[in-house]
Amino acid sequence: MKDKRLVDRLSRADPDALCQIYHRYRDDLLTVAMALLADPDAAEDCVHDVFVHFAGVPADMRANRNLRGYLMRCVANRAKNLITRQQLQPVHPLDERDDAGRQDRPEDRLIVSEESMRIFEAMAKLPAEQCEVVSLHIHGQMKFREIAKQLDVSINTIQSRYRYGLKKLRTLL
Amino acid sequence: MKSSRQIEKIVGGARARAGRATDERILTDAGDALANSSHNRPGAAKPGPTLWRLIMESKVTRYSAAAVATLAVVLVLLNPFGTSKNGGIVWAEVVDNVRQMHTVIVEEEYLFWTMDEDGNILKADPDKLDVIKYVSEEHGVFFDVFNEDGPLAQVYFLKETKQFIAVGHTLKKYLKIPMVGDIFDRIATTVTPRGLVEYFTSGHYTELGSAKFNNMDVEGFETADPNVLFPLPEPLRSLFPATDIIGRIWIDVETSLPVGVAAEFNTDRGLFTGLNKLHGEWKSYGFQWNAELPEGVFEPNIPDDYIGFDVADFIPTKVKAGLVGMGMIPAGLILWRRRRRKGRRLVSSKINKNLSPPD
Repeated sequence: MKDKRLVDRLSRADPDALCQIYHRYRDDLLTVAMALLADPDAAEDCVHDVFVHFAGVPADMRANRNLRGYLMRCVANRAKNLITRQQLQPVHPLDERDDAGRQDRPEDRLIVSEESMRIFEAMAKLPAEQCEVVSLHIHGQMKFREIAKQLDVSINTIQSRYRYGLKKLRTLL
Repeated sequence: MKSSRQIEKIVGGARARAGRATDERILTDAGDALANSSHNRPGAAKPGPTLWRLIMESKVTRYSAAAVATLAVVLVLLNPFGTSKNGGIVWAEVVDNVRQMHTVIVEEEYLFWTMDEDGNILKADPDKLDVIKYVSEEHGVFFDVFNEDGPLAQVYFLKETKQFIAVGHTLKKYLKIPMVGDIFDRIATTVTPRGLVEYFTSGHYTELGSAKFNNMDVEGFETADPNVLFPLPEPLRSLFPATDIIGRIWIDVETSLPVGVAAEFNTDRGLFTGLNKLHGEWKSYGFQWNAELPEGVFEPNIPDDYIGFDVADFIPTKVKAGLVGMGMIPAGLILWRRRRRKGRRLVSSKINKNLSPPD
């Protein structure tokens, strides 16, 4: 079913539409959040908050033209806000994390391989704007023009951020 | 060193996947939010025809989205007050009554006309904004701005975080500015009942005598003291250079509380007037003193897809050039835009050349 139909159904408070949207985009959104935050718990919280807010806003505020772009931008904005507010704890390797507060088994939570974690940690060392563009383009499968429109920045700026981001990653990976 | 393509491939290989518990948590909470959502939730953002369009396109305040808030601040600050005993009104009693008020809800109306160099009004119909202002001595001030077509923006002065926040829905943008030290205190104090009291007890005024205001018996007072009416520090005042200010206040004879405030003013050209000369009128009415404020009214609602912006984005180039001269913004910002324009001109001249008929 097309995104627009799902959004229309969601506007009528259809939980099945919410479920379909979530399953369609959850992994891409979690990956973008991980790229920016390099913290599975924070990334999960980020996507959680975006979906809760998305489900709760009035119908006319929900994106009905470019749902993917809208959700990607929401996740990126929220992740950058988290970074800005310095609410995140310092990044630790997965095996050193404190799991005391969680009852779930690790395999039930956000799943990130060690190799992926290494890459996310490298990406998190980029300036947030560069990391955002790199992740939205590669993980979010968004074109530069689409990213520029979503972020309200010129396409030249987006391409520059991408180039600089990749250049730094070449030294980090 | 790896090539860009290799880096892209490596980065693309990094993925995160949701586990069962993650799915359950997010879907449960989002489902609850969906079930509890209401399309007509008060205070929720709705795209309307636009304070922001008014700001950007109107000659009044085209170049700065912060202008709304600034105007609001400026106009809120236009509170004319006096001292001691006058006619039937005992100012000490007014002061005492206002001191006991910790909240107030006020309806306000703002009208703006653009003027030419000689002070003639250029257009008969003014730009009009309506505002409901919520003031809390504890939390700060919240402006809900709308016009006849619907909600336009929300503007907050938050006491606890000392932040100024403006949220514009049509452009899906917001502005957050920390308001440090004296400026925040002056603004916050001035727009609270306790702050009003301080202005009651300063400045000069003339008596307007008895009158009727909204069917209430009132006594009016008028002042043109710029120190009382426009107590902004000089750097801010030059952004919104208000002149020729006249302010009036009406005090209810029965309750000894303010029930109406109005002001008229002209401005010189300033950044926040869109480099126009303006004539403005503002009035406050419908005071609900010590009203119970709606829950959550001081919790800014900024949707996730809104983008923060910089006031400098809306400054016209010729003004930026001046600011560059003063070292306030980097020259690269201007030069970069000029290069872009020059590039466009070259392209367009090439196109025109190709389209021109051969000699």
